[in-house]
Amino acid sequence: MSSPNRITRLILSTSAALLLFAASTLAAVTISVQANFSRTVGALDLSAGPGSDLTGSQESDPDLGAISIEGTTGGWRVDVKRTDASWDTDLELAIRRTSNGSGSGTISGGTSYLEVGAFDSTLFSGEADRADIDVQVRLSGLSAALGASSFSTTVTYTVVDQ
Amino acid sequence: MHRSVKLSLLDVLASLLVAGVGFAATDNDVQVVTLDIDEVAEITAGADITLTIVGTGTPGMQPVDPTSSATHLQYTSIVDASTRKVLVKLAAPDTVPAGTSLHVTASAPFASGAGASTGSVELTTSDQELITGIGSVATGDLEDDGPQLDYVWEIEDMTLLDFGNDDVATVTFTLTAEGV
Repeated sequence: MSSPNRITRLILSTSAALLLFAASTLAAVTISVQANFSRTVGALDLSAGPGSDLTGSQESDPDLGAISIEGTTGGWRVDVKRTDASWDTDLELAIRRTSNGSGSGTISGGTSYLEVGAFDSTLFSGEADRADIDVQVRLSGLSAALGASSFSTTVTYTVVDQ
Repeated sequence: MHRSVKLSLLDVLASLLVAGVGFAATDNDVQVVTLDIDEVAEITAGADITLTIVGTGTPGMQPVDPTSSATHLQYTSIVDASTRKVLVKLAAPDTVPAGTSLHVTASAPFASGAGASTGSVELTTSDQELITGIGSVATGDLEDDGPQLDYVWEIEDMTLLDFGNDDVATVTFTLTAEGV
């Protein structure tokens, strides 16, 4: 086979691959997360009055941040990770799924608290579109030693269409 | 001159494989989590105590100064970068019986951030520093947690003592900012 013919085949194969990739992104899966979580603690959160420390953990409402997943092509999973803006290494952030949401598909996993770190961890998975999946956030490691300050982190929920 | 190019089945499968592997569709959204810790200043001095002057049983001997170390000072202090102190005084119009003086010292234990004792303080109706340099700390709320309060009721002039009297002296502790 001549060299020019081989190069042409390579170009055509690559173009086909790129066209298929473009087609797949046009019909992309989407995820939306509805609510942020904010909590202020003070004197009322001491476990037993003067001398006692802050209650060690704070939980959000169990129906915080409904998650909706659309445009799936079959199975999918949701990974979570956190990116700290101002944090303390003694603080821990955990998330769990508290409802199945709605839709024709299925959902599983994530009903026990998962500690969220700097790298993706799978929270739950399923098949077909699901809407209004509730999650609950828990902050632990609170203590007076942290001082009067503001701590913030951003949780990224990533859906992977499998 | 026309030249046809044939793509074999292998070429097509290779294209599909390249398109499929590593190109799984993804999307993400974010949730911001914020925790605010407010300043806290809470203090308690434990149960009331009773100091009693009793005779020694030996004629001519002055009674021993009564003492008590039965109580602890317990506090929760949460600050930013500042520090706090504990002030102590007799609450007016209470007074110490004539011929005597009342002293208090804050002694160990001092947890990290709980400050340091200024030593013995003779109680008056004016605020005086008892503990300084308090940061963000929870001393603990169990019976033996927090700095111990050592009281000494000193007899200075027996001729002025009015035996048979019961006097009440209310001691006030205040957790407040330093340098203010």
